[in-house]
Amino acid sequence: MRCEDIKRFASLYIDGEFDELEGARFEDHLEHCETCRDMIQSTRVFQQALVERLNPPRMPRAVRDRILEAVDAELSAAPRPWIWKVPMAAAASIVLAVGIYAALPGVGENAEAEEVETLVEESVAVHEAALPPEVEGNGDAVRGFLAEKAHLNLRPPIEENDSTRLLGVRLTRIGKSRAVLYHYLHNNRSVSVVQIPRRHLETLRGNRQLIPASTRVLYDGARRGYNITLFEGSGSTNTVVSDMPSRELRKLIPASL
Amino acid sequence: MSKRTAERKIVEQEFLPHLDSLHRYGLFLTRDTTMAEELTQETMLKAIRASFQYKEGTNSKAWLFRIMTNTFLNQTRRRKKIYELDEGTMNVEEEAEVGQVFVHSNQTPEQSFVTMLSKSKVREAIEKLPPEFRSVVVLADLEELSYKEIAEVLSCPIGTVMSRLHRGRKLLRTRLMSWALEMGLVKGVEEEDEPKETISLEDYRRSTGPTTDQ
Repeated sequence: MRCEDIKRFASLYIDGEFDELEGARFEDHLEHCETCRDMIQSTRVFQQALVERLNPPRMPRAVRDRILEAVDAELSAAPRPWIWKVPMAAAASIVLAVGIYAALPGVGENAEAEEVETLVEESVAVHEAALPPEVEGNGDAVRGFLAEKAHLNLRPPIEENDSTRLLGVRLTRIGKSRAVLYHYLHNNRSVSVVQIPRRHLETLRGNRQLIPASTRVLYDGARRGYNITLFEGSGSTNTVVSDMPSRELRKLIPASL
Repeated sequence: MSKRTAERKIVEQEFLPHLDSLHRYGLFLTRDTTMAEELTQETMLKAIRASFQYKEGTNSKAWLFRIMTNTFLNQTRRRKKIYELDEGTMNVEEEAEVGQVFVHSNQTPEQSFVTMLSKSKVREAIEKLPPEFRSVVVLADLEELSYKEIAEVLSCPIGTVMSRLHRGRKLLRTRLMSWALEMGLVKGVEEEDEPKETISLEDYRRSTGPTTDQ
């Protein structure tokens, strides 16, 4: 290694980005070169001094208390209508109960409304958290991943074109159902779609509904500053979340899926 | 364990220990105590609402910082005008030119002129960095996040993190040094950017004009 390389890669070394071997090669040079040793040392000392100068006391007590209070309020808020928030032992009877309810006029719709509410709430939370995709790439890469690695027979919910790009997907869960989170970029605005296999809703409805040929919008509204459209196609239920105007958002929904 | 208890456990064990760090990063992002408090609170609430997504072993610090960065960017997009006006006073190119001059102070490598500057001066220097440099410098030097984690927090490639960090640190150092010189805290001699010892033979030949082997 030459002094030049040392200078060029000093940050990598100081920031601890090198592996053991790389670090050892770097140190070999430092051992024999006083100039480089001094340079590294003074950079280190500069950074340490900077941190010491900036390290503020902990946050003010009053601020901490106010935030903790808000956190506590959020944690003890009345549970949202999450239907899977039921102890496992009771789960079987719930499925049965839903089956019966679904046969009664009006009650099945109530269960569906709750399901929609859940999907909307959790999809917004997922969009806000903006977790990075597990697989990056366009429709082809994503389809391959879903079929081969995740064994999910699902198709990307939004068509790709010049203004709409699929950036990648992430596997997640919504309640008991496996779900896929799609990251799209539409005219440079971020759009998330949470997709769950259709089976999940069918259980709820007692398998009585016919599979629609065209997509059906179940919810269209706004929440916490985002616009949301929830639609179902033949194989999946999809919740689209973005800060785009809802009219623009609706245009992304395919006629069939 | 009920879902509620599980939620509370995640919040207490994984989120709350980072509250100070988050608040500190919030202060550097917003440069305003009220806005920093709001941003910290908003970040915690968003994290709680998304906590069902949280898997054990996830890097909670990077995850929280990412939520905070995104929330901040969304807010500033909404107040875009104020933001642009504010940042318009910075001239990056001009600063980079200043950075070409390497200043040697009369100190040994064991000392740093930074310790002679007041805390508020150092803070001011960081706060005046353009936002894209400020974030990486704070995340790397104060919060000690790895390049990979920073890339995740800022949703950008690692290469971008490295170049921003390099430029940001250089800008910061140059500015602090010029203040220290102005205030007479250190005596310095200005030199060319590259210390003599690191100039290779090729560089040397190029700088002294055409050579015979051309």
